[in-house]
Amino acid sequence: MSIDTHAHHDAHADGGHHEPPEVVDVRQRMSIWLFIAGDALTLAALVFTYLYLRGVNTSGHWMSMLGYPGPQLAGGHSWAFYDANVFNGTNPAAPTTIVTGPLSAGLNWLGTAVTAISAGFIWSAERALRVAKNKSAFTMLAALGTIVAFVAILISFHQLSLIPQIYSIHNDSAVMAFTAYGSSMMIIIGAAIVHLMLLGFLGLGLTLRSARGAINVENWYQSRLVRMFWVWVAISAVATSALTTTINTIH
Amino acid sequence: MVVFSVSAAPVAAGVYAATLYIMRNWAHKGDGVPAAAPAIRESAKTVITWTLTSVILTVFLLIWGLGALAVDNSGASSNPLVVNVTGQQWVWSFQYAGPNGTKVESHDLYLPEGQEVVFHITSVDVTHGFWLPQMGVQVDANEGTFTEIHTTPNKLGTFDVRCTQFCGLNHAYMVTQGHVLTPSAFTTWLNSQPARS
Amino acid sequence: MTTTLEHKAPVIKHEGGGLARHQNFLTAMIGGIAGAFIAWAIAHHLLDQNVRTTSDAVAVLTGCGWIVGFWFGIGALNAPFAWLIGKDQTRQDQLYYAGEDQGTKRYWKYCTDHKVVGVQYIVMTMVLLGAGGILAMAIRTELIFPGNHFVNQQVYNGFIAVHGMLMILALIVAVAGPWGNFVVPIMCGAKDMAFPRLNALSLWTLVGAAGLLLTTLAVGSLTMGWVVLAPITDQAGVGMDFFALAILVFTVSTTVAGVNTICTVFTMRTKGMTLERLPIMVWGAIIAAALGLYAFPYFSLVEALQILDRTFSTSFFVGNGGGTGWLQANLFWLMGHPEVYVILIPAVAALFEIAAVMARKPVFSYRTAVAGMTGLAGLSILVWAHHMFTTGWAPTLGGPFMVTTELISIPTGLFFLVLIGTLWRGNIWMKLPTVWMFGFIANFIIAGITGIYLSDIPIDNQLHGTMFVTAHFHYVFVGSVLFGAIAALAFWYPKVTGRFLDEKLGRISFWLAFIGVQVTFMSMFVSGLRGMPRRYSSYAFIFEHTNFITTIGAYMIMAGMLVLGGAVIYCWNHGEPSGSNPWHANSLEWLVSTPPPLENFDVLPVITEDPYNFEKEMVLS
Repeated sequence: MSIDTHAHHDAHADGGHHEPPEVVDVRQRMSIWLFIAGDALTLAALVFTYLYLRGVNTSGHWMSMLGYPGPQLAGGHSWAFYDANVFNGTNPAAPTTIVTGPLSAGLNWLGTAVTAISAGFIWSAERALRVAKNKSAFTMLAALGTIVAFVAILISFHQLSLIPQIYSIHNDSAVMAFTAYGSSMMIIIGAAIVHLMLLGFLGLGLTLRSARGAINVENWYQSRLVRMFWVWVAISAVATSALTTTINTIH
Repeated sequence: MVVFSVSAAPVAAGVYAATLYIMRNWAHKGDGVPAAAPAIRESAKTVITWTLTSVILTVFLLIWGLGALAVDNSGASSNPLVVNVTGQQWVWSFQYAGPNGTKVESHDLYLPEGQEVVFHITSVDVTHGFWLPQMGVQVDANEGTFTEIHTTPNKLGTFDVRCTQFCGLNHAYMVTQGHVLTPSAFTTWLNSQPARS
Repeated sequence: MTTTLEHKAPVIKHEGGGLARHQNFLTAMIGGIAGAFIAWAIAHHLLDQNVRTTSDAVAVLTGCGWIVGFWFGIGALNAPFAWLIGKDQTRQDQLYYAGEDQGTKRYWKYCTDHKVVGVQYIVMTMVLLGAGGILAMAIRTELIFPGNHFVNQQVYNGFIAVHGMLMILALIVAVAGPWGNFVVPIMCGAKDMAFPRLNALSLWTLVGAAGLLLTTLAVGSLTMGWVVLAPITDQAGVGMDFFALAILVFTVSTTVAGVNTICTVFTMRTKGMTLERLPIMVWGAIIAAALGLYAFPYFSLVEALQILDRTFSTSFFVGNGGGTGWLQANLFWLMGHPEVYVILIPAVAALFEIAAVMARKPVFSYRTAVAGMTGLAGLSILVWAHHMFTTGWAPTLGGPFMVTTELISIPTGLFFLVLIGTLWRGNIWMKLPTVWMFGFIANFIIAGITGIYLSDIPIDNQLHGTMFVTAHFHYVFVGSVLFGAIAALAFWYPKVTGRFLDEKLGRISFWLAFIGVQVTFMSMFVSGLRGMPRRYSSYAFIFEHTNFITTIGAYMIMAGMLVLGGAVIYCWNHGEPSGSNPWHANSLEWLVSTPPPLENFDVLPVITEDPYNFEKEMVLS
């Protein structure tokens, strides 16, 4: 390999080691695309899980289970009640097949809409900084986007609390269990919560950093990186809502 | 197995021969840094020949294997013997249809020679592997669902039933005996077993 | 030629670093244990002890406490929180984190210098191989005679699972960890990796994950194989929770490392370093990284589902709730098959590099090498269900998966073409790396061919679940990957240490290992063909002779590895000095000094040809 060591010098004077932000940004954008790709594959795996369980429908129990209704269902009771009356009880009724229905589509789409709105705020924030060169607008819009993301987290937790549980005997002990459908919804909503928490951290960072001046009109690149990932999370929310509100019960 | 071994042997032999030839002819002798060797960067002829050979060999093995697979998978005959197999930690049980709609249970597997047998296999706890080594058939026993394999015993004698899917503490001891009997001996055995409805 | 092994620059007290000045492996361990204890205490008191799932929930939370505490203690959390409040790293901070003027202390710290990370990976690889190796010897000692006499089934079943996982982890990082980090950035002509702090994160996260895995052994282990099939995992104790969490944590390590490698190669190559002038080793690193980015999310998903089933009583794998073990098997093998190529490809790429340098001629058909590795990676995504031929999950898909699996033999065959073509008419320098490379060739052909047997469903119906399968993949992992990793170690050892790995000791260990592999695993093939299933703690008398031979072979391999390990440790400071380019090679890592300067190059070089012209010897002026 022929080496010509005279032709290439670093452009910057401070010891020739600090790289300009544009150069670093190319790498960071590539890394965001790679993280999004990995996340997309995880989403695909989640979708596969949901569709596979529904397709196999072991024992016909995609949305049902042999047991007793839990607190979210009509005529249902708490763990403590069943523990006293069924498992250790004196007059245990036989378990029946408890059939549940799909979770509320409205609430599902509400969570997605709120996520999309927060993405919208972050997108406008980046525009405000990069195009309109207005740092204080950026700070305010980033803060709004962050707060809205936290609202989406609250909605998601509420969705989780509504997933029906069924008291059933498994491996010689009693548990409050979830059907395959409920389980799949739990992991999908859980994954959304994890992503939203990460977005909350990033949004908070954008807000604090711009308030402190680490993000400004010259150095706006990180706002774009965060926006890219934020928009991806919103897209994945739309995709999972579309899937789970249309393909759920088995006819 | 034989076809695969016969196809594989020349490939392995070729690679070993080439490697030994290389070591014999071109190992640098003496101390000191070896000089540069001829810089052969590419030989389209070699690459194409090699790739084509491996493609042909692979396609041949695929066709052979898919053919054998089709034979194995071809549907059961019209009147097979049905045996329900249940795996549980750590024992196999077998259920036959007895006379007059009764059911016969056994922990050893008895089969009549020459008649096709279809196994309906399930598990009541974890996944087990139902394997008849001497007959070359194997499939898992899964909880909550049924799997099916079929075979036709063609030799009298005893054989093994082993578990090939790790199933817990005594997986190594989940073995039972199988027996291939003449058809009349099999019927005698079946009728002599206590039956339940 | 003088051999300076450490910078002789005057020690200057820098102001950079902040909190990191006090953080190292010891504070990480303290942080981890403290975090685990606090999490355990809180969980233990808040959760209802009567509920069956509580012990699992406590275990998971304890494990989370460990890893968060560990990260805090090593300094991995410094940067994210500094970023959050708008405090960026100064140049002084950067230099401190890169380990400037800290001597050997920097190896115990969160050091961003890719060369330090590379050495740390060498240590981690040896630790993981050593731990897995001890378990292997325990397993083979138990199996020397029929019957249970040394340990009982419960303990034995626990050994085989953790042995498997430790070795898999060790091999995933065996080549990509040390050499993907130490050598690849220099080969590209870069000063460091694209994201130096992520580099340190990937290494220390691996350490944290290893801690969780070793805890598994201490709390009753896993008793269902490293594949942790459902539904038997439901019967496992809390060891399973630590295992699942270890995998989730490990996925962070490997994702971050993969992104780092790919970004480095695509955005930080020096001027004139086109993709075709890159040393072939770099291609192996990025192809494996990309494949790992595809595969590991499945692993973390399936382990997350296991944790949910065990702590929240979900029904992903429980039949009564509509779940199925087949879901676990599919998700697992969607990861599991590409993952073996994540393990193999860096080793093969390193061997291509070694073959070229040792034969003193270019890699034969560089494009075929790249195409072969890429084709292998791409095809590996389509073959996963060949691990499930006998599960009964989808009989109609058997044929298609058989087709895709057998097609893999084509790119694999191309590896032999490139290796043999590179060596053909070469002027072969029979040094230690070359010797291990020849061992790889001899073993890999057996590994590959026995894989083709297993890909044929009628044959697999007989051989699945037997020791034949175990022998096949040990020929891949021990006979091929490990030999490749040792060849890479012998090859780049002089660049890291400035000394040769002792030729004589290396050859002794080679012959012990090579003969040991044949004795161990050939007899194991016979055990399988005779009908011995795998994961058996005890076996019938008809298998006793082959098992006895297998155990003798295993002891030979152990002896070889002990000799090698001793040589690596001894020669580090006492081996024969090698100079900075002992193999007279032309890729950039050999042209910088030994040890390389902190940022590799004082001035970035400009490249005009590939590194395989051995007619002249290059020098960086």
